[in-house]
Amino acid sequence: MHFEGTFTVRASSTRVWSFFLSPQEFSSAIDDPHTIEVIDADHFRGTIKAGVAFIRGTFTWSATVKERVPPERAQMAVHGSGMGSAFDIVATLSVSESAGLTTVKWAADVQMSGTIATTGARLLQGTTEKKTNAFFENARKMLEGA
Amino acid sequence: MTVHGGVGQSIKRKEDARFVRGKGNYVDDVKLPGMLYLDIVRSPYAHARIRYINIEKALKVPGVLAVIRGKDLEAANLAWMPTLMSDKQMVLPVERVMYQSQEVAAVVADSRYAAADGVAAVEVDYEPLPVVVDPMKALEPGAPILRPDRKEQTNRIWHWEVGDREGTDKALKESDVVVKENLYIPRIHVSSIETCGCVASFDAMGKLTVWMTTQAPHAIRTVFALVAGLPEQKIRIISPDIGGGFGGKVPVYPGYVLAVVAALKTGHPVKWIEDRSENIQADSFARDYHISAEIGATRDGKLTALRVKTIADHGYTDAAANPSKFPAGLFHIVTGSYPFEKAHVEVDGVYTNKPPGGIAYRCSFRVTEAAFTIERIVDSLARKLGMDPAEFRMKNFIPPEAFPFKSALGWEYDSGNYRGALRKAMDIVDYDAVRKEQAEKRKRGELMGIGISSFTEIVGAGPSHTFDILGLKMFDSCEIRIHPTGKAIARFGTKSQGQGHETTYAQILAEELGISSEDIAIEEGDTDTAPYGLGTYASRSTPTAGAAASIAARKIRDKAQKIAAHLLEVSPDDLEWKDHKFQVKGVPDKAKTMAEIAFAAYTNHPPGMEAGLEAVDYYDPPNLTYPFGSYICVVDIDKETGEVKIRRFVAVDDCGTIINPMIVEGQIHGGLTMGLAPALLEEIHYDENGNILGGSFMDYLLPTAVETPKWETAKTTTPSPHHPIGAKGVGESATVGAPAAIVNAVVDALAHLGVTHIDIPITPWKVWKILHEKRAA
Repeated sequence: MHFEGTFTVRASSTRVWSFFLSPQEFSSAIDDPHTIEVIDADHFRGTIKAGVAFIRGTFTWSATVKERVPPERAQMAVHGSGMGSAFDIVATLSVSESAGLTTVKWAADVQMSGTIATTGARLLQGTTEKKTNAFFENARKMLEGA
Repeated sequence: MTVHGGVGQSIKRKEDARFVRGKGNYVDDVKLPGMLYLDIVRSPYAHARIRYINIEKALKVPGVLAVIRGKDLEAANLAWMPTLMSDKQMVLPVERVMYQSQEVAAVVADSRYAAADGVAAVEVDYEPLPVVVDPMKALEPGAPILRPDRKEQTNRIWHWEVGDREGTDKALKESDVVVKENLYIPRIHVSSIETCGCVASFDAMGKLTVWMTTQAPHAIRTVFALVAGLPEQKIRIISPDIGGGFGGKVPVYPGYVLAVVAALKTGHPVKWIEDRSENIQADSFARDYHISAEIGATRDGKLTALRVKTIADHGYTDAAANPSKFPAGLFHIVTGSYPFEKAHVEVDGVYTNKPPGGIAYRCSFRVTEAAFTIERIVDSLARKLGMDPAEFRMKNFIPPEAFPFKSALGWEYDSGNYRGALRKAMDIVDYDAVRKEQAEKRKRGELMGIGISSFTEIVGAGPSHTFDILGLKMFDSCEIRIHPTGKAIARFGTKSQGQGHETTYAQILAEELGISSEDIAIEEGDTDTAPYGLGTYASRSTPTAGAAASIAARKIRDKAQKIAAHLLEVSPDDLEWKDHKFQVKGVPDKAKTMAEIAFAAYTNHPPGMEAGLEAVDYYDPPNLTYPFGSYICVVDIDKETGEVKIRRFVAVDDCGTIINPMIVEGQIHGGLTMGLAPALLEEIHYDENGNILGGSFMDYLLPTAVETPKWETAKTTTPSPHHPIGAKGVGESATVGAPAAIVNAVVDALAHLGVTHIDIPITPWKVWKILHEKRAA
C-alpha cells in the first residue's frame, strides 16, 4: 500500500524536521497505546497495541533512520511483528519553508503480512489511511502548539 | 421376493441414528489420559528466510512442555516428507518459508490455551524474499527459483501432454469455424465442516495409534512407515467419523507428523486440531487452472478438433493426490460427451509461493476443470455458429450405439446415453417455453439466460495396470464374515466421510446374500481390522469397494451353495439362487435361507469343508466408470445490482444402477450446491505480497440456504457393463457438472451485449461492471 500527503504547519522547517526525527516527540502523535525505547540516534524500538477491526493485539516494532538531510529530508524504515502478522513501513519526509509556513510532503510504503493482512484485508487500506492521517494531524497540532 | 434394504430401496441411512443425535465420534471427541495439545506457529510471510527462532519465552509460558523447530526434525531426518506426487514438502522449515501460514514451529502444552499462548511467545525473525504468486510470472526468465533444492532449476514442475498434436493443429486449421476461450478456474477450498486433526499415542510396547481425519487410512499408514521408519505392524491408523472430506483429507499434513513427533518426544498422547482459519489458509487447495481452449467445427456444426493448454498452479510443492501416471489427473476427459477425432492437451505444473494445491475437490482428479472447459467452449462455439446450444449438443453427442467408446485422448467410455439425459432435462424445464420467454423478456430489456451442461465424468480409479498412488495399486477391498445366527459384519478399505457407506454397502450385501441390511454391520477406517484399500475419494468407493462387496458376497454364496446342498441332500448343481435363497430347481418349497446356511456353517457343515462363512475380495476394476448427466439452469439478472438469481436448475443424472435413490438424491443436492459455490461465490486469491485474501468465512463465501435454489432432480439409468451390479458412482457428478450450466446461463443472458465469457466466480460486481461498460444497466 502506498500513502502520501502534504500539509502545512506554522513552524520553522528546522522545528518540523527535528520533531519527526525525535522519537519521544513523534511517538506522542501516535494515538494507539505504545512504548518506545531509544537505542541510539538512528535506532528505536518499542511496542504498540493496534489492529484492524476486531483483530487487535500488541506488536513489537523497531525503526531505523535511513537518511537524514536536515532540515529538508529524512527516511525511516519500521518493522513490526506480532499476532501472526508483520508490517514493514518505509516513510519519507520532505520539508520546505516559505513565508513562515512549512510544507511537509510525506509518503509511506506499507507492507502488511499475516493474519492482519488476511483477515482484515477489506478494512486494511481504510484503517491504515485513517491512522496515518490522524498521526500527521496530531503532529501538526503539536507543532503549532495547539 | 425382495430382501429388506436391498439395492434400489430408499431406506434411511443407518449412520444417521447417531449423527442426528449428536452421537458421532469425531477426532476431537477422542480424549486420552494425560493428553497434551499441539498448536502451530505459522508464517506471516509468503516467502522469507528464517534468521532465527527464539523459543525461550515460549518455554516459560505456564503449561508449555516443548517447542519443536525444523532443525529439531532435521536431526531426525524428518524436516521434509514425500508428497503423494513424489515431490517433497516441509514438515517444518529449516531455512525458508514458502507460503503464508506455513508451519514454522509447534508448541506442545497441557491445554489448548497454554499451547496458543506458547505460539504467541515464539519469536521468529524473518528476512522477506521476493514473492511469486502469478504462475505466468513464475515461468518468466529471471523469476526467483522457488525450489533450489531440485535438480531442475526452473519453476516448471513438469510438462505433460497427451493426444495428437500435429493432427489437432491440422484439423483446427482446416475447420470452418474455430473458437478460442481463456478460462480461469480459481483456487477454492473444500471447507468441510470438520477441520483436520489427529490424536497420536504410543503404547507401552511402542505401538503408535493415530486417530486421524483421513480419507485413506491404509495409505497413510504405509506413508508413515516409510517416512518415520516405524514397522508398519506397529502403526494403527483409526479414521473415526469424519465431517466431510471432499479430497481435502487425502494429503498428509505437517500437523499429523508433528503430533506423532510430539507424542514421541513427550511420552504423552498429543492432540492437534486445526482452527478454521488454519484450515482455509494452509490446507490443500483445489483447481487454480489457467486454461486456453480452442475448438473447431464445420460450418454445419460438426465438431472437428479440440486443443487445450493449461497452466496448473500447484503452490510451492506438488502435493496433489493424483494417480502417479497422471500429473494433471484425469483432465484428458476434457473431450467430454463428444466424439472428437482429433484432440491434444498439454499441462504445465508450476511452483508459486502458495500452499500446495491440486487436490480432487469433490471430483475425480481434475474432472471438474475438464467438464467446465468443454461445456463452456462448446457453448461458445454453438453461439458462434448461430445454433441453439441444445441442438448443437444433440447433433454432436457420442451416440448410445457407439459404446464402449474410445476417446481421442485414450479413454474407453463404458456406457452412456447423452441424448436421453438432455432430452429429459429439456422436457422437465420445458425448453421451448423458456426460450420463448427469454426472447420476450429480452425485447422488454430484461436479462434472462438458459445454460446447459452435458458432462461426462470418469471415476472409480482404477485398473491397477494404470492407476497407483506412490506405487500402491488402486484396488479396493471388502471382507465379509457371516455369524452363526445369520447376521454379518463387513469391513472395507474405504472410509466414508458422510457418503452413507454403512447403508449402501449393507444394501449391496443384502441384495447379494439375502440378509436384511439392518443385520449387516459395516466397518471402515481402522487399519488393524479392515482389509487394505486405497480409501474414499474420486467417487471410487462404489465402483471399487462396492464391487468388492458383490464379488466377496458371491464367493460366500459359492460356499453357501455347497452347505445348502449338504443340508438338502442334493447336488450343488441342483440348486439355484432365487428369491434370495438357495432352492432346488423346480421345487421352490425345498430351500435354505442364508441364515439357515450360516448356522450350519458353524454347526453342521459338510465333512471335509472348513467351518465358517466368510470371504474377502480385493477388487481390481477392469475399467473406470463414466457417470454422466445433463443440467439446465435458468437465471435472471438484476440490471441494477448485477445479482444473478437462479430461478430453475434441472439436474438429470445417470450413475448407472442406483443402490439407494434417497442417498443419491442427497449426494446430488450437496454436489449441486458445491457446484454453485465456485460459479457464483467462492475464490481464494492473493495480493502481490502473497497475503491470502479470503482466508476466513468473512471473505470466503460459502453458499447457505439463502443462496441455494430449489434443485429439480431426475435420473436416467444406463448401467456400467463391467461393474458387478452396474453402478458407476455419483458423489461428485453434480459438483462437476453444475458450474458450466450456471456460467453458460449467465453468458446466455448477456450474449446479446457481446459477452462470450465471464470468469468465475460471477459476482454481482463483475456483472454490474459489464452492464455499465455495455451501457445496459
